Amino acid sequence: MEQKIWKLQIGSWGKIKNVEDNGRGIGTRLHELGFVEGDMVMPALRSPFGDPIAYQIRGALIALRREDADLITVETIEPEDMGI
Amino acid sequence: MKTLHFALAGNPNVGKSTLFNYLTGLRQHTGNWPGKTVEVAQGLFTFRDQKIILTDLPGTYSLCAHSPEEEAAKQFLQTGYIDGVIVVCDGSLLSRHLILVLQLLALKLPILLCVNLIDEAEKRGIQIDYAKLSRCLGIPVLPCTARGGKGVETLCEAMLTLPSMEHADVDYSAYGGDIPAQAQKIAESVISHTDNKKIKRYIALERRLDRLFTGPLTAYPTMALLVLFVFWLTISGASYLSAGLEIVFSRFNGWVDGILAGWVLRGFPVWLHTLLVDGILLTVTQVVAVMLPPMAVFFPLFTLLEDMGYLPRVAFSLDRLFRGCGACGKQALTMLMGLGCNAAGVTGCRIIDAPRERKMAILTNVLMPCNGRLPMVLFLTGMLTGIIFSPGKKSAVGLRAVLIFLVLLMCTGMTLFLCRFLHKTMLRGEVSAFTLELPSYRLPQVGQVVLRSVLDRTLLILGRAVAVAAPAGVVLWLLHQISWQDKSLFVWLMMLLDPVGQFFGMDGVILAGFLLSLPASELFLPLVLSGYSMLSPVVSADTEALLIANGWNGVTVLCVLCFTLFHWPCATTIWTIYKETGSLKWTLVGVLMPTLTGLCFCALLHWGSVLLF
Repeated sequence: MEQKIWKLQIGSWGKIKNVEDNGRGIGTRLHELGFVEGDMVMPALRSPFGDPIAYQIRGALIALRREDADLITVETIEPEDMGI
Repeated sequence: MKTLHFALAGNPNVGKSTLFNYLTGLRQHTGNWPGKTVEVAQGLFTFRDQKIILTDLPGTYSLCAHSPEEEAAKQFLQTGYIDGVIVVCDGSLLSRHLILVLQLLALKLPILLCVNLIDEAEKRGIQIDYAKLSRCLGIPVLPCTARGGKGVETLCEAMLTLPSMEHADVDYSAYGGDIPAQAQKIAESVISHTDNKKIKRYIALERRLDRLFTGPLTAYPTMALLVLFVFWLTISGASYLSAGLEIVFSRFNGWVDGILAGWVLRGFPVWLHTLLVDGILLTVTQVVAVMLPPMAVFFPLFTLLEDMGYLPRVAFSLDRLFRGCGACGKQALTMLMGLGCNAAGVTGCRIIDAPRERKMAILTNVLMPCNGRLPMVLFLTGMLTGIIFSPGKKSAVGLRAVLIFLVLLMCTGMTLFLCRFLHKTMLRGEVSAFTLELPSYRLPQVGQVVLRSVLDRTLLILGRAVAVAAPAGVVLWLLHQISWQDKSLFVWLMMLLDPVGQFFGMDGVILAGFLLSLPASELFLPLVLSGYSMLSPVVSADTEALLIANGWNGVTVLCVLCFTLFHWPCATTIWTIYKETGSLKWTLVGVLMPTLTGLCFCALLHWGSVLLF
């Protein structure tokens, strides 16, 4: 199922389908931080107010605000497919 | 033999500086890029009779310029004449850090890849096939643990042979996709995971710490406790150091005074003697004695928290508040640094990528009371509790702690308010994107931390402060020496300022004190006390009693407290704001905004109390 990344539950993995660019250059920045189509991502940590959320991607924790995370679409993955 | 010149590049937080410090030791200096505010450190070391100059570039995620630092790094690599680039990456985060490596390879520079922090990677059960990685990339790859110096010698050997090596042409497009995708494929092909349980245990431990430091219930209490603890250590530690320094300096000054007095007998001009001793030397030693100790305690503690990976969690937890005011969560760190020294806080704003948010953080940093004003804040809150709650006796420590906490809360609130104000007026615009890496927790290297923070931050700021204090000493001396109609210029200044001061709930002596403590806020209280001693006959050994005898009441203390918190930055900070923003206009805003804030508070307090009582 496809959905926005920030709708993923904490601790559940998704596969990145698409990273949009809103013209502020954030698209390239996200790319360089490892948010690339096909990569596995997991929201790992919610800040006290619920925004921003830190995502685990390529072994690191990267915090994004909701408005920036909104540019990323993921495909949800059932836990049994993960193998980890 | 020709001196080789290498650049050190890499993502932030990969231990680049650790490697740099390990190689160059103390033979390094930090300088600015011409015309830019980006600082680069350069160091020199000798390996097997070969002199090598190493330039530590700012940590960058990529070569696409998002921030002045990345722009500068790119320019340096493209135009600067260098024999090679050492790219440092974190063994645990290979796939992410290879992105920069691939971008650099596209520039056709001779590159050496140093995979650092391999001990951490092994702890996570990550094994890397370095030979294969070297073949994949067509460049030498060397594993090392920079903090222990493991593998560094092999790295140096590789540096010697790199310039004469032939550039292997590898076609990375075979890996398909764009650079991030290629990086992922290459990393996958060289990494093997040994022990899944190990990784899981390690990550579980980090998440538990994260839940403590960023959880909805625990984040803010732990933060408040840590800040207060750092404060307490700074204040109590500094008071011992200060007392010691004062003794040393008074001996030193006496010694210099004696020598110069001897010279005077042999024809040395008397006025020069007093100018040097009472003007310059006294002011400079006074500033150093009060400024150095808190910084020498605060900055190592701050760097320690930074090194352990806690500070990015603070930015993470507080971002929502700053976001609401159009600012960036990383500003919380620059504010914390501002508690140590506003000049350092302003420089620290470089961690904020977006120019709009960076400016906000620079202009509002002075609203946090630095170490120079902290003793004043402590003194005033103590006096306030004395006046209001228990006249005549020293009040409870707990009450003062609560008051100080409230003061800090007020400063934070004011910072947020003014950020919002700037966001709605002068710095209008869309909120920039926010990305923040939360690095793994690491055990800090205490010795390194103390040494580096003393060298990098404390001495730098101290140097600037002395440069400002010396001429200020001359001005103060002149104000005392030159007189007109039997009154010194200092007295005239206080008398002229009196009506203005009265309007804002203070008096001429206080305002003159604030004005003349421009070189260093620490000078304020001594200046005020000497001012009163000139104007009124009251003599008292107790500072509080002396002030009360000179007309101070609860409202005066409140007004002075407000103005101590919110007025113009000290000269060093003003100069730093100018250097960081590169514009007179923004420097002026940085001076006027806090001053007007303070004046508004004082006027409201004074006239409010006049109307009420």
